Amino acid sequence: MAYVPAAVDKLLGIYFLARISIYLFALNGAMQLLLMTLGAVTILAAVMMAFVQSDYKRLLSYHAVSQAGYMILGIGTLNPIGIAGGLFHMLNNAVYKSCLFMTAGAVEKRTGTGELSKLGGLFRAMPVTGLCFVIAAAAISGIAPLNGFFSKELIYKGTLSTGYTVFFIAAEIGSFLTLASFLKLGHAVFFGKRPEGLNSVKEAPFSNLLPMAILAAVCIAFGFGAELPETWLLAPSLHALNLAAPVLSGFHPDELYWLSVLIMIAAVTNHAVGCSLSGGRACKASDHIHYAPVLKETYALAEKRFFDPYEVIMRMVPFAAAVLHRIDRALDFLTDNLPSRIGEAFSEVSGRFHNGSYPLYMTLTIAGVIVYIFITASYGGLR
Amino acid sequence: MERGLLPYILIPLLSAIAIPFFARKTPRIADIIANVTLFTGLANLCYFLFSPANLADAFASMPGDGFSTLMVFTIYLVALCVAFFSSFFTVPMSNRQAYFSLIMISVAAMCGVVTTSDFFTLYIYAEVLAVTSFALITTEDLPAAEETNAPRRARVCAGLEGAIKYFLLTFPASVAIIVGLALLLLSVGSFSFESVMLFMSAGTPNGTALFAIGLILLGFLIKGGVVPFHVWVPDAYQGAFSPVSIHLAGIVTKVSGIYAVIRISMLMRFTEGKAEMLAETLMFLGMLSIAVGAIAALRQKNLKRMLAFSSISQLGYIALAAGLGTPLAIIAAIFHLFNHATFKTVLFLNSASLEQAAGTSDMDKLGAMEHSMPWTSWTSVIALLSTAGIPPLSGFWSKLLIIVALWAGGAEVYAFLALLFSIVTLAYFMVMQRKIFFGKKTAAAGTASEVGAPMLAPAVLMCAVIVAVGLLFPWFYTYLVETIAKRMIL
Repeated sequence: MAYVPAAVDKLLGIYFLARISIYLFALNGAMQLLLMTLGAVTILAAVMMAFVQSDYKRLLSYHAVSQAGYMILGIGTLNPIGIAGGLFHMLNNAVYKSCLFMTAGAVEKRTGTGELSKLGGLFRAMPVTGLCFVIAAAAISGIAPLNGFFSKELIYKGTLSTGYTVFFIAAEIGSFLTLASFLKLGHAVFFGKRPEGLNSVKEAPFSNLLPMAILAAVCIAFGFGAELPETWLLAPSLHALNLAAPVLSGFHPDELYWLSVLIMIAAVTNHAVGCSLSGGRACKASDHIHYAPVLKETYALAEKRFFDPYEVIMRMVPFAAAVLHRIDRALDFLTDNLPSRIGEAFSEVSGRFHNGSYPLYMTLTIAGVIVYIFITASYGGLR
Repeated sequence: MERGLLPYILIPLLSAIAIPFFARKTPRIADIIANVTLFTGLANLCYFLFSPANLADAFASMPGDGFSTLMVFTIYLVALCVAFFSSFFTVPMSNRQAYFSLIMISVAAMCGVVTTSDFFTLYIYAEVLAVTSFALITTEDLPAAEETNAPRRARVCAGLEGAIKYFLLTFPASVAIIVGLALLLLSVGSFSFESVMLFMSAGTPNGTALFAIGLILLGFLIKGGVVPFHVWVPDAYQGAFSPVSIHLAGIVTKVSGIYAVIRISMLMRFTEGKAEMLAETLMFLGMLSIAVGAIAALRQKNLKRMLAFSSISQLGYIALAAGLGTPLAIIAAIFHLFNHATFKTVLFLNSASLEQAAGTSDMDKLGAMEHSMPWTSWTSVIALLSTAGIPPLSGFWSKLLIIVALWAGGAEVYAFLALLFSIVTLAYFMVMQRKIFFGKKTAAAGTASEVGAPMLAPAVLMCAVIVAVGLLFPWFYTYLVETIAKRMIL
């Protein structure tokens, strides 16, 4: 069920972000810059982490984070093309990320592990799963005729038209690392040498294959036929958001296309270099970047979870808990002890008063009557 | 006088007269006559209220005064529960015929109170009711054979003491009302509600008339047991024979006191600021009742005494809303009056069941009764949650309406305090539930067993009413708006 939080739940957050960006806030330059920075940092940080992972699902999960960065970047551009790209990317991400998680599930089901170092050469054994993986991985990396390419292209265009080239570069670096990490992943799982223990692995059952095949088909359909989702889904939603829909679809072999080809070549080269440096072991193909001078320390810190807000906060917890405990006790005293003591005191008094003594009761009643009559009579005309 | 409702006064009166004759030889016939009379009356009222024509056009064509009809319905409902319960209550009573006769007279008097349309008749019926209540409180139980004489004498004395206190401490009420009536006749020239209403809407009313109404209001506040005139309530409820305290707490004090307060609030047009001081005083006394009743209830040892203080507190809510006087507040007060009758009846029924099963209503001597008396425990949970205002039970809606009305009427401080004390209400009921039904078993609880189905039936019926009214609130609200707010206030 890992794909539910990774692929589907996230849609809600992005959807809500798009809604509030358009409706609630007057988006000005500062907000635009903030959102785009957030998007770019998310892309880079998450993809760097994804690149060095050695577990199938964990790698995919970091990618899920980095893809969300693209969506935020696209929506943060605040121009129709960028927002269209962000929304389209959201749609595409749900499709190919679900497909990838399904392949991960199928592999784990058949082999019993998700460790990249223990997997390999499964394409022969699980051809349909492998094919689906290849399609979805190509889509997420933004390889030309698949859906990921078109949505990323829109995001790039939107980013470029804001004039902040730095975010465009960050996004392109993200693309490069995405492709590199999927080359590593695919190579490590489906190609290369198969370990001894996995000789008897069979193809996943039909019930697993059908959904992933459908999703892979959607990847292709939305890629070649990008016109379809763009005119049917995106243009109406943009219209509903009061934005003019630009021409969105169509394959243009322009600079961006050639740039993507360049990045593809760079990534493949990088993978080849990494493989040869680590002695042909695909799962170690990222080591030359992982253990590069500055990055090594950074990664080490990241592995100790110094960048993880959860861990950072957890380190502060004992102290904060002690302080909060004090505050809580004080509030407890105010809300629990004090009122109940006051209440007890009052009811003690009232209990002592309601002692059944007839003269006391009669006195109270008569006194009440007299006070009441004075109040009403002074208001009435009997003065 | 609502002529359509006249039979509901006359028939119980006739059966009250018939009981001593027919039941002279066999006292059981008294039970049968009383139950049959009340049941027939209730069935008639149900047909009158829930007839298809009424449901179809949302009560728009229902004849008569919705407030009176609702009150007569409540009186019959509670009285039927009381009569049915007393028929099966195994603690024998000294004079069965007299007891049921008195119950029937008090039903007739209550119906008279709620159907009359002038202050003098109202006063007469209220006095009849006071006298029957006095006699009912003195009803004593016969000693069981093995019982020693001392506790019995204590209980009889408690009944007598409660009765005398009730009589003497509510006697200033009669004085105040009589003087008020005289002044009213001098200044307005008539006792009827209609003329008072016309007088109030004609222009700025003169001081004497306001003072007269103020005295009448004072009388009914004393009869209703609003703080600081509440002191007779706990002693009377605690001292009375158990079924009698159900009858008193469930309906009698509401009808004899707080009903007239709501009526006066409707007539006086408090919202228009014509009797501002009176409205302010009433609201203040209502709030005082809520506070004193709730705080005193927190530490009571005896269940019936605690319930009596809780009654005072709940009556405070009604008085508070009546003092505000906006249409929403008035219908909220009426709704709360109805709900209070239902849930307080359940709680007093349960206290009587406990007294029969475990022999005591002292909360410290009871414990873990939920195992031996599950039905009693659960009905009491429903009733207490409704009293504390937990959705979706009926008490939640009426309390919500009261608080919303207070807030909308500009009495934010009262709204806030009313909300706060509804938490205290929950607190003392939780204490009660824990002490009696949960917790550790005690000696008195060890031998107790659940009372029979006929004795549970009234409590279960009332719980069903609580849940049903809570769930069918929109329908009930339509009734209140159509027959009360639209016809009588606006």
